[in-house]
Amino acid sequence: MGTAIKAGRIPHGVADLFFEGAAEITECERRLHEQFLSWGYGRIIPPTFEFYNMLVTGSNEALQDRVFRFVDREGQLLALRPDMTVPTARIAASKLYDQPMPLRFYYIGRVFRYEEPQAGRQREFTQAGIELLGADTVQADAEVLALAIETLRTLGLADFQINLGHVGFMAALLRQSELDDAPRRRLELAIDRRNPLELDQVLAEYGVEGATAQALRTLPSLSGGRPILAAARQLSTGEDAEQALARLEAVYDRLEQWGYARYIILDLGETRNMAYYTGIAFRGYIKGLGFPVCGGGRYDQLLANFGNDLPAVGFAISLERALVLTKPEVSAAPDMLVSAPAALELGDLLGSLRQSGWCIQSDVLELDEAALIEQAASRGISMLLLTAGEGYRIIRDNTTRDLLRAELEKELSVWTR
Amino acid sequence: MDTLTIALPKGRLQDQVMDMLTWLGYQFPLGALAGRKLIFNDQSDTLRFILAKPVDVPTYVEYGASDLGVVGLDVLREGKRDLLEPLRLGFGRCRLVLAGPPEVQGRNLRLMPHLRVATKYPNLTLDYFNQQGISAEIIPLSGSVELAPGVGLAEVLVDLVETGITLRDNGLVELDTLLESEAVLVVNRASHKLHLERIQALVNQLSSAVAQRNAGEQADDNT
Repeated sequence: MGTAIKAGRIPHGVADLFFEGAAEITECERRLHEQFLSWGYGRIIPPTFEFYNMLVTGSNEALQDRVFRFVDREGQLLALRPDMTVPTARIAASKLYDQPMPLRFYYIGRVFRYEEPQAGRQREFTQAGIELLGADTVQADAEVLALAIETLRTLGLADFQINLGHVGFMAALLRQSELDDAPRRRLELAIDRRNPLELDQVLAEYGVEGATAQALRTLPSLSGGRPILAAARQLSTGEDAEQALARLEAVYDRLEQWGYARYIILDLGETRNMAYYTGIAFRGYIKGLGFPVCGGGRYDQLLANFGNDLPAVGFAISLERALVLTKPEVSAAPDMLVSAPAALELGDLLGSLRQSGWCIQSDVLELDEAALIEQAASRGISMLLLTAGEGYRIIRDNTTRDLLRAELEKELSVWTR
Repeated sequence: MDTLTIALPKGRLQDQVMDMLTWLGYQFPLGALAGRKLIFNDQSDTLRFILAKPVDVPTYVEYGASDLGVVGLDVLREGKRDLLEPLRLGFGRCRLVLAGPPEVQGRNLRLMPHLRVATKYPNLTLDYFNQQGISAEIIPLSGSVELAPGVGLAEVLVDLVETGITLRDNGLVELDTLLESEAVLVVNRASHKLHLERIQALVNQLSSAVAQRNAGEQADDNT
């Protein structure tokens, strides 16, 4: 070869998927296509790469740093999509703004982030999710949460929890502190890291006192069931904070009515993504995984960047992370291996079997019976069909039966039912 | 009840955490106290401990292999891991300082051309120098950093000091303090959501032990 690149070497952060690994992703995708479609969401397929400026619109600096960028032949800066929400927002705001609202979209596709592989997620990974656009209602918030919960269940996950908050509450309290940007960022960081020492230091340094200081100290511990809403009301004085709590409670009421409340932990102490989300915001957690398994929320400001102001709410899950915890049962092996002569003679019969869902491989190496038995065994195929004399031979789980064509047709007609 | 896992840094900090937990009433198997086992539970099986290299503790915790951990603030900030840090433990106190030979003292580092700095903490050093507007070449080392100026590897160094004796013995003086460090309790973000009450209870217990200890130190100071 003469090149320094070893055959089979691939860059850090991507994976080759085949056999069960690929079959598991495919099975997850199949279930999710089915589920999202059944809730009336239509698929959206954005381009894999776009203009860099478009893809980072409205996103935070941290994500911008993690985008794979490259230059095309005209010298334009392009990037691989780091998520699906921004492309969906672009498409909706620039092309579909005059369509009947609301718009319901789902996506399943590969996204790319320049970050250290963690918890099953590589630099290229599969993201699935929905966006519900053009509806700023409690019902829309609740539907997205319900669908997020159903999605985790569809993937076979149980025992998960969704931490649900509303960014409006913390934003109102932070405004009340009347701090400038720099100390406010320190304050947010202290709350984000649950660092009470740093929190007290910032409050003392900038003379934040009284009810607001007390509220900011209490904020990180506001997490639990419905009672925390009452506790939060005691802390809030402003109308914005009241409105945020009222919205959160209304969403929670509906989820309770649908029987989803047992998955929900109300959590008002989360500062993440305050720059991005404008209303409810949530993350899914599950034992055994040190990172959130899914996340979402309302982002009413994003679409305005693309020329048309539309409210929007959605969620996303990375399939590789979900797969760390539970794998769907898949088999990469076919149900039946058919010898070359038998495949030639039984084309129509095998066709109807395949149509009824059987997975059938025909032998293309034209092996003899002994070699076929060995191949079936080594690849975990439990049934073998071949020609034998005037008729056919079925070898299944070490038992051999010889059948004439009429008998075989009868038997296969039972299988296709 | 699930067992909570705590990653401890092998060495001095480990002993001090174990002392604190013993004071709180937790009991440990004998082999654990002698430091021979790398993984062990307390007698009541509510806590599981793993012993890791200090610099690896934040990694264990961020990835969720451990729910909690104890690590020096210096190591935590250098590694830039995304963790919760609800409690300072009050022991393992030391300072990360900029030091150099006496002739550097009083000089404006911003005006020194080709400044080289040797350190085990390249990230924190770079942050500090950027913040100060000083351009410098960072020379990462893994130990005995105080050798560097004497042998002409670097003009200055950034290293951890407890008493400052090592610096003095090598003819070096402190120029600035980058960070006051002590042992910190860190928590995985997802674990904190999933085991909120138990983690909060443990933080409160440790917090009371820290308060008790600090009060004891003050009493000692007064006598």
